[in-house]
Amino acid sequence: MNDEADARIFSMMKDPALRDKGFLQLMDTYKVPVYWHIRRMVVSHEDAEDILQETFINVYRFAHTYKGDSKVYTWLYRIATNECISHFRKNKRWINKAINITDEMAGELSVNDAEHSEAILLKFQKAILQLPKQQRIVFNMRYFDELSYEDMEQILNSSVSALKTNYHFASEKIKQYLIDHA
Amino acid sequence: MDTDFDEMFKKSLFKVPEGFFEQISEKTLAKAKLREQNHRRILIALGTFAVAASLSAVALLGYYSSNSGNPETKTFVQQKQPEVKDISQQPEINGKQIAFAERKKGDTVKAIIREIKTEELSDVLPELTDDELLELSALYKTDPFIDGPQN
Repeated sequence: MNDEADARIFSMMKDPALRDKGFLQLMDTYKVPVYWHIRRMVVSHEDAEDILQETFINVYRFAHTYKGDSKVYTWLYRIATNECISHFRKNKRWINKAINITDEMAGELSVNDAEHSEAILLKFQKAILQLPKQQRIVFNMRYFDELSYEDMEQILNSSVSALKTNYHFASEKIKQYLIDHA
Repeated sequence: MDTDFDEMFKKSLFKVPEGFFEQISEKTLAKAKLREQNHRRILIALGTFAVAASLSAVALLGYYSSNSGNPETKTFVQQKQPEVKDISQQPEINGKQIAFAERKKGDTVKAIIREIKTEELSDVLPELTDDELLELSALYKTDPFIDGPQN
């Protein structure tokens, strides 16, 4: 995530002759963190693949709208987060009952062996899935992606204080879940 | 970092198909180019349709403008409304007139007059046509059985 490299990539994308090459370089740089950001929200690999592709297709078509006033990865995360939220809206039938959602989504998780640590990890992931959508997004970005609150402010268009509050409540709920299911 | 959880929890339990990350970039680029191509085709089609619709509208406007002074040109808006009789000007309809109208079919004026009493005749006179009135006046002059001014 180098600002100079990002600027070079975007200048390539503005040149019709180098557009495709620049796009592939951009995608190779950011596809893994963006994929995991999406996957942690939607859980299903198929959905994550679709949303990842939609995110980068939007980047390909609208790269000229990137003005350079934010970092590239915050811009990409914002597009990806909006696509996830659209995905949740389209799949409203899932959202009717939070319990059903978490059971279905938790089914996507795998436990490779019976070790105690894997079982705790599974509980941890289930606890995150129980969170309301906004708290889950904030928690994932803060804990897994290690984004600063300032970056998250740009991505989610929310204040730093609201983000800190969301993260705090999310953490408390996860801890309580782990205690209740110990 | 204000994390309350150990780093160990960052280990992912999610499975990813083998070779996914190697293939996804080229696959996405191909899809992006196809999407852009389809978008361009739709824009061209919409543009062509818009031009065709505009030309048709101009042609129709020209056609109706050139035909607007022609009296034989009839549009459903310009069709003559059927003449509506002003019923306030019509003689009052009463039972006697209705009876006369029913008898009138096929009967001669002479036969009708013989049946109708004098006081009824004044009610039916407005219903007679000009020819019938002429015929009546002729009878009036010549028929000895019709009351009239003394000859």
